[in-house]
Amino acid sequence: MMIICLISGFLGSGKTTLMIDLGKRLGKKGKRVAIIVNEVGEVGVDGALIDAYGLNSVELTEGCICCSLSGSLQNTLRAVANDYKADIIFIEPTGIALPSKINGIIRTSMVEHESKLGICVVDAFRAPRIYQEAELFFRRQIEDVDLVAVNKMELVSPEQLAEVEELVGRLNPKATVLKMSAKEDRGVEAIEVRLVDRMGGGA
Amino acid sequence: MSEDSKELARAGSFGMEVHFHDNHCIKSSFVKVLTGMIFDIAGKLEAKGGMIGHVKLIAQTDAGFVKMSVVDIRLGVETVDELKGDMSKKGSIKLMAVVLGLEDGTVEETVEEALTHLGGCMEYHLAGHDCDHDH
Repeated sequence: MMIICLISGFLGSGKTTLMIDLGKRLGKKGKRVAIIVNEVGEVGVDGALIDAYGLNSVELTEGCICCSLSGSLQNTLRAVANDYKADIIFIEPTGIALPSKINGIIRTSMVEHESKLGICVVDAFRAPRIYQEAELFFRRQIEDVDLVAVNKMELVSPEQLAEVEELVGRLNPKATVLKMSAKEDRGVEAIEVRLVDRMGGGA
Repeated sequence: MSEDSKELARAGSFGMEVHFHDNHCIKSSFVKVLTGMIFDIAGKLEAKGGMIGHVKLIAQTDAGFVKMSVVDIRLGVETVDELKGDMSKKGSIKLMAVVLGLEDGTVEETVEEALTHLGGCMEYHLAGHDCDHDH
């Protein structure tokens, strides 16, 4: 049965890069991957990029699927689940979406799925500034996920990375915290393994 | 508490699609012009007091695509260059900016002003315009 993976995280944290990487990896394993991507603005850059890499995506623009486009998300999720028969549906909301709201929308969509993995991508370089200037989003995006991927580890010192890990762990003690660099393809495999496990093993 | 996350974040955003034709720049110059434009937008948005969420663009041509983003001007422009071979004369550019602490109109004005960078390489029009060109 299908699984759903919600990849949230603040603007510019690297959600799309991670999702494309995971989509390509799972595709190579023979998994059917579908992507629902959401942009806050009128024009979809991420959808164009995902399509350029040959992945199957549906793009929802001009609003956020956690609030103004919640109905669109439900309808799209049902359509993708029914029409595409995916092994996994990735949902990438805008960088200012709140995962708890999307979790509720997924629940009430009544789309059958084996399990759901919520990932929050955190930009290790900008985390201190984002926490300072947009604490509400930073905190709530981390609070409601199963796994926090501390991305862009190549841009910070080990000490800075440890501080971000400590902050993330304090905000969500239950979540698994992984360090990674989507750009340098480091640490992504650990997430891929978790997704494959939830889909019932290899191809 | 507002239910609209964009209002909650006090985020301003603007996105646009540009169609270009008669591009006379080679690949390196084309990429340089786009790099200059997106960095100019990011710098001006920060100078106006905003905190950049992201400024990103994708230019698509018959010869492939190039995607660029700026999330912090200290980091410069991050580029994914998948342009192959000779540059195409025509194509499209999708550009999107989200900034905390600025109004939509301010973001729009800043992005539109920066389009003049493109004039060094190509003729361009906003998507949806009426013209006789073959896009």
